[in-house]
Amino acid sequence: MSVNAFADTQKGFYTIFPKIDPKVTAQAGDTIPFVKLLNGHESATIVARRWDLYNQLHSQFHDQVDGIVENIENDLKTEISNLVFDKNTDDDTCKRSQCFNSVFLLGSDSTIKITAPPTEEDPSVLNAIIDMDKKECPNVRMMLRRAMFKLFSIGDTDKHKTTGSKEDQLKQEDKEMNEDDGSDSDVEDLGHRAVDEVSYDLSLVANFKDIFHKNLNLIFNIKELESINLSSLDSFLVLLKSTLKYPHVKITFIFNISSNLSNIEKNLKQSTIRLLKKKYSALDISSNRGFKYANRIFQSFLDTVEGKLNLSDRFIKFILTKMANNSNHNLKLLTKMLDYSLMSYFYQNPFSVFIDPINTEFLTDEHFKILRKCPTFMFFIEGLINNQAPRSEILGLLSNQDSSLEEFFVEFLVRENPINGHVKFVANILENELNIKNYNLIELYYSLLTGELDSYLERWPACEQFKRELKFEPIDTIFQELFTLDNNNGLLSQAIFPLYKSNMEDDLLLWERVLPPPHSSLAEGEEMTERETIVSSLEKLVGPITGQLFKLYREANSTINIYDFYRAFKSTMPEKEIMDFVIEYSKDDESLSRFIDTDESHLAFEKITLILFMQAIFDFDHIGLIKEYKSKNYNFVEKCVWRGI
Amino acid sequence: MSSLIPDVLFRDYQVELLESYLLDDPNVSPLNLFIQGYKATGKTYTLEKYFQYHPDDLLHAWIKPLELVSWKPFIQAIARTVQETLQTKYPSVSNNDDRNEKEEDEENLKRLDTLSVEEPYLLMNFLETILSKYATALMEPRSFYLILDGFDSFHDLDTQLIQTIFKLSEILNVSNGGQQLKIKLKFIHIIQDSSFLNRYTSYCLPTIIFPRYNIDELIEILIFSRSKDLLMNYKFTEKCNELLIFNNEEKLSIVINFIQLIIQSFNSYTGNDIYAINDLIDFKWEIYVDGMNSDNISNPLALYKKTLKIFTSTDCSLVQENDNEQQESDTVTTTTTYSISKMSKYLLIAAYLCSYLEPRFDSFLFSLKSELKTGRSSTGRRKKKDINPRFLQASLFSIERLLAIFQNIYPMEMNWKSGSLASLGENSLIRSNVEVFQNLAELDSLKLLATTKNIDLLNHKNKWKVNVPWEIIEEVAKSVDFDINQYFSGIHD
Repeated sequence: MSVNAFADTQKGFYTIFPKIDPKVTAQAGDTIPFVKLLNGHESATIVARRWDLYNQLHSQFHDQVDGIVENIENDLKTEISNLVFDKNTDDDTCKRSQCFNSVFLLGSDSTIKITAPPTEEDPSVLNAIIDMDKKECPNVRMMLRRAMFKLFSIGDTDKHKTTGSKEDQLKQEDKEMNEDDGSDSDVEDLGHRAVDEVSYDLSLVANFKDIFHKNLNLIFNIKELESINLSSLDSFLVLLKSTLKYPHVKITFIFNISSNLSNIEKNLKQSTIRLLKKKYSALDISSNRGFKYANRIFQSFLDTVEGKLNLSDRFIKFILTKMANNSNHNLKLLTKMLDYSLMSYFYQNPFSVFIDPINTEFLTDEHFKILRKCPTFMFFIEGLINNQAPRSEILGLLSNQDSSLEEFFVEFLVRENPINGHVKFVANILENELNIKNYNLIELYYSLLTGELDSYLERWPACEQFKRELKFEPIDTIFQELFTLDNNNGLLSQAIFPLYKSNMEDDLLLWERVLPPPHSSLAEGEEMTERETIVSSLEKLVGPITGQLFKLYREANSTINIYDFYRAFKSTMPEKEIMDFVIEYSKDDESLSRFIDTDESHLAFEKITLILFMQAIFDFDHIGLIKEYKSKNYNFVEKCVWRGI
Repeated sequence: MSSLIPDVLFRDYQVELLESYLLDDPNVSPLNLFIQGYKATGKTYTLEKYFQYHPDDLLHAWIKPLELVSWKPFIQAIARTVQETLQTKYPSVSNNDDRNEKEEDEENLKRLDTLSVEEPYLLMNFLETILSKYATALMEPRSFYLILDGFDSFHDLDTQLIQTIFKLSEILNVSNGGQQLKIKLKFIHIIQDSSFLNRYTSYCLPTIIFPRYNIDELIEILIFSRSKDLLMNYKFTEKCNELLIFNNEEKLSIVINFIQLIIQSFNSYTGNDIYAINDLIDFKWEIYVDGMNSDNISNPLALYKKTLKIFTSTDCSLVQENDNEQQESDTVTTTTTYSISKMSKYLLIAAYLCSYLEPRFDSFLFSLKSELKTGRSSTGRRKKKDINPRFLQASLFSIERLLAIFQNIYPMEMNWKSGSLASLGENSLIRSNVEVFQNLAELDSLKLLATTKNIDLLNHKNKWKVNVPWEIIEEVAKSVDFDINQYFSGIHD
């Protein structure tokens, strides 16, 4: 057995990657996954056009999203380094009162890399960034040693770098220094000595100037503050406090906090908090706080379809609730939902192809049939009748005489959706005129759709002055239902937020939904062989054994007696069909026939059910439906899963 | 107020004692001197000033055990500090020595490497070698005072360490193969905890005790140490120029008044801890200055009234008040105080209920069926618990129980009126979909929930427990308008 195989057997869990045949995927890539709509009457060109249009919009949207996400990171980095490497802050007060510069990054997932500004900016200062994670912080001694070790290696590499590039210059400087420091040459001497024999404690910080001839800007990036023992961090801070008296040292702490500040605060000493508070800044970097980026993504989605697509209020409501449920990654979630809705729209709506008006040449009678059934169109016709419009006009629209319906439709295609314009208008006023930044564009859109803009804007009293401009008449656009992204039959909620646990249980109960029907391969009119009749009659009665057992499992109490369970299981098994099946197959299989012959038939059936039962029970154990009851008692198993939870 | 040493107030008696103990002549001063006093009693400060102003220019060096964490770096630090201090003090000796050293064999060099000092025995050897170099160069024997500031602040303090030091100083001072060392190493231990000394009562250690300052002394010390600093404050001078106050007396009276106000307001909180009061003065001075205007600057009472807010709370919190206000306005929308989603909050509350309520109360508390809610069958034995379960450790629970309770307490929004046909199609209870598990995973990674096994979260053997105290849960519950108290009423006394 190889070492890897042995290591694999020791694992508690496995990750399995399905092997994909490259040939199959290559083939699949050639064909368009979209199907012909309009009951299959759609022409292949339109399907191809639809596919192309979808891909075009999709990539356009994603380009913008990528840009936005990239920007987030850049924005963040500049913001953080402004805090950390701020030259303008009054160093004097900091020095006099001897305090750290502490930066709290709220909502951080500790993945942000903090980079020092280039050293050329100020060659007299060495920026040493030291990352500390929980493995390195078991106690104060280890923290100190790790930190000093890292500091030394950073200093050392920096020194070598400078000596490599400016060797001569440095030598000269060294000489000058020697001349300058002629009086206290022992200090210099001491410095050289310390390079060779450095001990990883605070004396390194104390003698840093002598060793590396640079001022030190020490930056501790403390990751995952929640998982670090805060009392040792506390003493570490107290420890480092004593280095603040050296004029060449400046210390910055960056704390990555994923929960919130008061949670951390409760576990630190008051004196430490006062120490940190002297110069601190908190920066909320979770991208969800503030709607800035979500707004941008949503805006870019609206722009992507050139304002033609509508979003139904149901869909927007769905987005809002789901985003509220996921606080940390809701930008990804938003993108995913918009993506999915766009895809499903293009997949199932035959009119989606007309978002690009060039494609109107492909309008067919099938399309017109649907157009006539549109509620908004019918409403419009009703209005025409009420207004006693000329009969020919109405008839023309209804029957598409002289392609008047087509012209009518195309005319509406080129129009933009007014809501998108309104949203932009309101957002513009909020941002530029009133300087309000913390509005939620999606909520704004929702309130526009439902006509409750006033109540949404109530939270900013400053909006009063624009009240007249912000009054919009509700507009019904004809044919808008054809160009609306919706979450009507819960497709999105099922696809993006599957109830996978209950799905699994449903599948166990109603296996007909997921398994192919018995003998689907059999062509109509073909006679079944004897064996096939036996098999099908069994299949009609008994499904997969795990499913069969799960039905019983549902009705059981929280602890299950194994024997009772087996009895119940056996009684549900159709004896005759199973025995027929086994006898039929024993004709080919010698060992199976021996198994039946040697025993009396009812014993054979009992054995078979026992085998099936055992298999199903072990399956249950692996699926996680049952567990051992308080160990060491093998008569009972405990139920782990209840339906509907 | 006159004092024996400049800048040191109220420590005359201690200074006199120091003077009689710390002498350059090693024969009359003790090997070990203890200085005991609680935090902020001026031990280090007094000693620093003592050495600074002492006429004899005593040989001394400081070591802070707090910075060294454990004993090994500590003895290395002793070796290093002694070596360095002597080198700077007598550069001629060390330089001579260096020249000679180059000719000497390698072994001798090795013995002078401070990093090789890893044991008390090696330390003794090392010190002997170092000190013997100065035996010939010096005329008179001298004391070398090594101050161990905060000896009891080691992270791994044991009873042996100090005895090692006692022995060390004894051996070094008694003899060295006939050659008498001219430099005698003496230790001054500064400690905070008096119980530390009680362990060594039989050693008859000379001890100087620094008592706590009383409040009058405290005020005087703070006025003495801080008033100049506060007067020089940029903001204050600007304000004074603005309000046309140039009289130094007047300025000083404002500062003194401020310091007295701070001490009087916070004395019950800080005690006589100078560090804490200094911090408070730092925080509040500028706010106080902001409150000044032409009306109240000469009227201390009016100024106090104007700036009353800063004297009512210590403000020792990193969460700023204006932060809270902003958050409150945000709560209207979705995210709130704990920056976790509503669903996570309910999950956390459910987890808390799971951990702190016994399963036998579940049917009584959560069941919707009335027949299960009444009678003994629901709660088992009726005896109320003696101890509030909240005071006990969180108990473990399985995830299904959590999901069940979560389903029970999570409010679902109904889009349709109950009783209407459409409402039949809606789920009145939350079903655990991916979102629920996502939020669970988030709580786990925030360490708000803990599990027994860290690797496999899906394993059915894995048990969960809540990892937050009652205060936080109460805060979380309040933010979603959930009355968690009702679940804990009536099940204990």
